[in-house]
Amino acid sequence: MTTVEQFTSGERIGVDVQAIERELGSLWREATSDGRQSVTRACLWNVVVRGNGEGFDRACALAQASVSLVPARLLLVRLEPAGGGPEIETWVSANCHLAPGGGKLLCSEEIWMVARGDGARHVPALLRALAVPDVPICVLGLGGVDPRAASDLGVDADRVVVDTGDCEGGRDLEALVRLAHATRANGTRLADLGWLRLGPFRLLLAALFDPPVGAEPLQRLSTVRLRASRHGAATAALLVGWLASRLGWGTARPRGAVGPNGGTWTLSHGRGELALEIEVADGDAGRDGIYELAMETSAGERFGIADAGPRAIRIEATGLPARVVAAPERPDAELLAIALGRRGHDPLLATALARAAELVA
Amino acid sequence: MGIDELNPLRADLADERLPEPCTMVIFGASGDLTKRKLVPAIYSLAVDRLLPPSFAVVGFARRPIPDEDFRAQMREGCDRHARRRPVDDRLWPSIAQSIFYQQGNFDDLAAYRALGERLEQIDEARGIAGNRVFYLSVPPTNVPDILRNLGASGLVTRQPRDARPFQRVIVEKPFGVDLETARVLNQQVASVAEEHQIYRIDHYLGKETVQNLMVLRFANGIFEPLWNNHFVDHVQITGAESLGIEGRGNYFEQAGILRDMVQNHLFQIVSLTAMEPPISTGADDLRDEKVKVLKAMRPLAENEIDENVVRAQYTAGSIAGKQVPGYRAEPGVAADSVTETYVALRFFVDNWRWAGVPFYLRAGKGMPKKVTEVALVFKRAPHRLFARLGVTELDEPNVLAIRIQPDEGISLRFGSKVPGPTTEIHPVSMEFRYASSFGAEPPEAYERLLLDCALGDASLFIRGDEVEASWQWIGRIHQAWRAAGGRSVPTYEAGSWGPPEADALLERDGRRWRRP
Repeated sequence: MTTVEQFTSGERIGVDVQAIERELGSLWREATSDGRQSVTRACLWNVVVRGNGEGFDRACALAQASVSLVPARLLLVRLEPAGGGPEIETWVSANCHLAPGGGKLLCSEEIWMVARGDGARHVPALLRALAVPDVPICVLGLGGVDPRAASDLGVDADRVVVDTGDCEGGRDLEALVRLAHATRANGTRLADLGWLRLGPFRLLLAALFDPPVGAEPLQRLSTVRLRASRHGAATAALLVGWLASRLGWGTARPRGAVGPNGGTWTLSHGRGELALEIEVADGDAGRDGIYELAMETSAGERFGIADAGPRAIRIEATGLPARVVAAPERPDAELLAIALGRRGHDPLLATALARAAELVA
Repeated sequence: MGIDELNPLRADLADERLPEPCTMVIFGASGDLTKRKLVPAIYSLAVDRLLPPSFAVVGFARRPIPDEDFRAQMREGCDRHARRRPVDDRLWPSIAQSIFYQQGNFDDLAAYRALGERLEQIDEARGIAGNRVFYLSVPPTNVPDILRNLGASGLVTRQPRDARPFQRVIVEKPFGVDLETARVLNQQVASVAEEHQIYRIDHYLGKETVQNLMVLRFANGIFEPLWNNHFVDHVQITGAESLGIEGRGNYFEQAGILRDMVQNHLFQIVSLTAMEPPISTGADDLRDEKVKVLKAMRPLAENEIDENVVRAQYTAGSIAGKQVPGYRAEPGVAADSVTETYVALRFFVDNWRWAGVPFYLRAGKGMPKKVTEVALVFKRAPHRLFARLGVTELDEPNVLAIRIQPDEGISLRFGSKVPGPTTEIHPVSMEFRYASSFGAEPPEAYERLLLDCALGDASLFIRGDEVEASWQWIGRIHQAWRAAGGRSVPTYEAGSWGPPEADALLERDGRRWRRP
């Protein structure tokens, strides 16, 4: 197998850090010159993943899976302790797939870097040099929220993508609020895969209050109960934060101990107070991590949405027939593609996040 | 008041474009379109979570079919034709339970009353507040009966804008066969519903690239300043089909390519290409601008038809390695038929922007390949600087081509210096391809259009006055052809780009057709 064949089949080709662009250019010229296969390189984003450990590996895999939906140059930087090799090592590879309709091989570029010890100091300048010009930059971080995710990179990120589905409760959510403040201050947009995962759930819930039921019962809510899995705890708080911001609920006051297994709160709203209960339990509740949301009004009306097994949600609402509806789960790669699109900038996220942070503060 | 204002949880979810719960009734549900396009589009929308949980489909047609059999047929259709195929077994049961079938004759008022009762049962069982979309997927001859009975049964009534529950009617083309029949149809429609309740569907408008014409023009700063008679030399619009008439001889003999493609699809593309910026993307603002273009198209006088219109018929030839028969050898076609399978037009849009810019439009069956595109051919640079150096000049003009189908995209041709010690200029093309840039396949046109109708967005549907304006312009050509009687029409070999007369149409102006 020639170097070019290795490259377009996805194998990493070691290159001199000084000559990455030149090597890439040369490999592409060779790949497109032999006429065997029509190859197109495409790029709508620079996607930067930096870190180590399991979160880094998952983020790299997710970024690689998403390039078939949003072609991007991936800049994958593994930070390692000193020793065992040069400070900086670099490789390039191509991530190719057949374009819809077949025929043409559509390729995104991957640039891998390993920075050992003090080698990390070279990373910001390298990223600045290697980001495709005039193409936006996204920083993808999984495995917990790093509030310095964008600022430490030394590049002006256009978007930071995190996943509240990875958060471990309150501390991560607070870090996320700090990240939201930091990104807002410098014009970077924050997207959350967990928030996007909640999208269908929020739509189904909203649709319960379309005519004929109408929105009136929302003013009479007396109890809101939410059950979530451990990985969904932060996402659950976001869901409540969204309800609180949309329905004008007042500040949440804890009614007892608030801990890893949830808690209870009292909130004021238009016509009185409502009791909020969040229960966090072990088990599998799908990727969004929500088992059930149940709401009751002072008039005894009930509105509930609950997990009903794989790809199904059960809806129960006073005034509507109970039923199970299809709820296909989007793969994370699709969510990342959405996060890189227009819906990746959702002003509701910031307000929901701020209200969610009150619960866990 | 919109649904977003009625429901605080809906606010700011507009991007999600989730319609209110509603039922779509498909008249002519046993036909091919339902199985191949409509229900597969609904299935793909459901997979993409773009339908509300309380959505129902009711097929209505003459043949008695049990619900279960109808669902099985629709499942098969989705498996074969849905963009999101094959059908996901875990999703299908909940989608199937929202599909129903109601037997009835289109001219039987009692059948509509029975349909109304069935719809009320479905509303109650599924929590739908009476919102309804009636899709008329039937031959034009059935449309008057259906409209009359929808009105008489009270299933469709005149409604103010934003009325709830809503009643909307989707009408499939053809919208008449000439100006007179189009007016009659518009009157029939107006007798039961307001214009804003009517959604005349032309699937071309649901195509991503057609919509992108507006985005290209009005969301970018660089194109619109060039989009006028100061810079554009002429405009070429091509709608080519590689297929012949595929057994539709009886239909095509009555229609011809002018009715089949030009009056609807291609004139919509002309409108979007030539229109002024609308004041908003709202349905009426957009359609106001489109209809102005159709009204600004300079009418051809009877003695100008031969000079500006070429019609032709394909003869036997070869397309994609297969021998195809000539048009007159097709079943259902008269041996002495003069029906056109190809037409080329030269016309002007008499307004400030396009004064003096010829539009050349061609449409044909039996062409070498299927392609629809718009090309703006720009004027040459005012001064040929490099010619004075004695070097090879750029002979080809700059062209901005918008490919509507297939391989949707945009290309810009310009001259570039050939690398080397001499100043040789060669045309190169800068290409944007949807498939390359966005990876994912665009949604089917029917997905977009059905969703828009359920959302009450008529922007991509045709208004009654647009239909009449286009027939008014086309009508003069048909009139002239009728007056010419059985005069023979030019021919072209199937698999070619049309007759020599069509080339001459441009050559007289010192121009030539693009090779799309």
